[in-house]
Amino acid sequence: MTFLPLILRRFVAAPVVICATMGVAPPTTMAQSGATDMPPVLEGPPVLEGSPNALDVVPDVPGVGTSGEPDGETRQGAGTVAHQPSLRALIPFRLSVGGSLALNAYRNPVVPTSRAEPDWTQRFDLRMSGHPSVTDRLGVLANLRLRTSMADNSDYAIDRNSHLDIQELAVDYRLTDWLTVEAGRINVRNGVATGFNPTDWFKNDSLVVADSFDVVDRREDRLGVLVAQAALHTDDLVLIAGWRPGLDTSSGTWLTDADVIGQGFDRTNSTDAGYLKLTPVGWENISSTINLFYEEDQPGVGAEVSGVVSESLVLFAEWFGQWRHSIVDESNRSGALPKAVASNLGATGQRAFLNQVALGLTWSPPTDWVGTEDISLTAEYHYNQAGLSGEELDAWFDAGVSGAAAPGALWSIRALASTRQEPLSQHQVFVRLTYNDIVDDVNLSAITFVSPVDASVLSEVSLDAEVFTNGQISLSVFAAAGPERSVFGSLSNNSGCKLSVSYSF
Amino acid sequence: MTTTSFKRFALALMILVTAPSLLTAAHAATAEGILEAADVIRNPQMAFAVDVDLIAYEDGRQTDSTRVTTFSRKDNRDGQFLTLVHINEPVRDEGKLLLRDGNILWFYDPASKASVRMSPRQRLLGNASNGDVITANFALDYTVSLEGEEDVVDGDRQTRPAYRLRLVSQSDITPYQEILLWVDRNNSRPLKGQFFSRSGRLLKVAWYRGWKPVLGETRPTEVVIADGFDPSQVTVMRMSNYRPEDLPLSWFSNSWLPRFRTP
Repeated sequence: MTFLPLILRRFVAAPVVICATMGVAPPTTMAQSGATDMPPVLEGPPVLEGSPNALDVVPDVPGVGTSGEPDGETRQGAGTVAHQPSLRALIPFRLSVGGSLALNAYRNPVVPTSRAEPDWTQRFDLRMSGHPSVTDRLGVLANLRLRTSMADNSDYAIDRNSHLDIQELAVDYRLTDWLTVEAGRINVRNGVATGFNPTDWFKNDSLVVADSFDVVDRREDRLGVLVAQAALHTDDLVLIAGWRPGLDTSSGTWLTDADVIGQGFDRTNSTDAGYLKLTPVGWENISSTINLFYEEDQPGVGAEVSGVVSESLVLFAEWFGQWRHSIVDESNRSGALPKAVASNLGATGQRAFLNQVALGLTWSPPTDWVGTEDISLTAEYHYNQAGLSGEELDAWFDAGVSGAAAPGALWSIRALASTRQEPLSQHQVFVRLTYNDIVDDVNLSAITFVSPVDASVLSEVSLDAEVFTNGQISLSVFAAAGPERSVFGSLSNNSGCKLSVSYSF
Repeated sequence: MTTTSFKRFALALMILVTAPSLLTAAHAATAEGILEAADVIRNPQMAFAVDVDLIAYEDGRQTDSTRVTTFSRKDNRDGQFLTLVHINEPVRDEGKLLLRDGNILWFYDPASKASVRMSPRQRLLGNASNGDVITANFALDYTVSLEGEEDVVDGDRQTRPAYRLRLVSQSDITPYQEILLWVDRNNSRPLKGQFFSRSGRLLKVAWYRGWKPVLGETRPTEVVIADGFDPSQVTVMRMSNYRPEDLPLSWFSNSWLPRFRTP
């Protein structure tokens, strides 16, 4: 059953041709679909168009009957399905266990890197998550994970290789029917795009593991920020105001990077920040949100909007502009790059108002093409003014190949883009194809990042299969391709695969 | 009071008392009236929540089940329902939400905190689709005509006298282009529906049954849905635990989805 695109996490869209489904003349066959007494038509080939005897009698499936039964207001009355016993019925949070094995292949990139990466990694997770109500007004949000991992060429020590991630732990309280306050560590996440979210302010340095190139998957593996926020909700709008306190932290403590229990608040709460998020309610067809963000010397403003164009097509846009350093300037704060190289890479040393944009569409093929198959395609264009232009990318390769700059200083620029979860290049195209239930309960997802300035690509294909009722097994494969002097063709880790299993209780 | 006066008074009183029902009966005889009456029976016309079990069968054998809770309230603007669907089971999908506000559909995954804008077409995916668990009054989305009266075999395999209504979509974004709906002539209960795509393909056939008293009306608590493309695929929607709920309008915004807790 594909109720709800359950794995809609992987989404989609693509161009055009929706009009084919619009304005089609009403069917002449419908009047023939009479309501006569006919035997059940639940066997044999699919019926229908023009078939007067199709599906005239209800299929023979268990029913609740019509008399002598409890009324429909009774909980667990007759007619409810017998559910499998689950630990979930005993505790207010969902528990899940999982394991994964990743294999990676490497090549010598044109700009050498000294970073030694493992050929394989293995990880086991135990996660507890949920958002239950304690009372009508009070709720608890939790997303905790205990993980342990190992890799080749690395000795395993449980205290060094294991970690407890408090990704989220917060309380919310409904002060009135129109005002809710929340405090704690929360994964504050914004944005309507699926491949890059300019308005997702707190994504910087938030990942605790990076198992996938898929941004949607990565959001599940990031640390929330410690915030206090209030949500005002009326019939006309939802207004969210929040404050992220900057924490004065020192290394080696549970607040930062202590073994096992270090929570990385130095990463998520390095400075004070405030934000406002306004969402009007009830606009016909259009959904929109306006964002204001303030961090010392780095104020920003953004917006997102989405709307339906036709039955099969959704368009969306997301924009954020902020006074900030470019990726090169931020990476080069210590001055590791020679001045000439830094200049060629566009460094100015100054903050500027830089824009980031994601424009996209989601398209689902019409029913007449694919029946009720769950297929969708998403295509997005990403613009990152803080990234490198085509000329600056050339300069990056020139500096690396000629030795004009230390490889470490050059690679730190790319590492920063990765840490900030922003495109390295100013221009990027993203495509996602999702085909749920491609075979029984197997779901296919394929994503591709394209760098249009150098025709390089990075693709990842995943197959997820449901196992038993609450289990899942996944296989994903990725590969990067392109000229050696290109964004993705120059990656050291150019291919790999991952097998993972999980089970929820 | 004279006899004549009393008769006039009695006549006036009778008219006063019976006029509403006479008007209702006259209204109900029209296609619009029949459809509105069927809508009122299909859905409580108040803010409410209901647990829905979706049980999938293939060739008569159960293959899957999902449990959701739907929260529905009327939109002040047009009277159509706003709907929030919360997945309860299976556990691996617990907490995922589907929001419908007119043309606006959002899917929310609590694991990634991601809200994804869906196309109206994606309401139709699957056998018992998103469109089926979303509460909607047909009368607001479709123009209706009365095609005739005929006997129909209902969900309990009983033959009943019925009106046959043809519903035609008034917009490009309804989940179905046309619906043939059979409504019981005796009590306005919806008995059966055939749901068609824009090209005229039969997508689904639904039978309403399991009639029980629910929130002041006898309503169907079970819908049997056969897939028009593959009739061996059948889904049964079973509704239970209907209850009135106070549902603020602001719940039906994508910004509210991360704050949703099951009441």
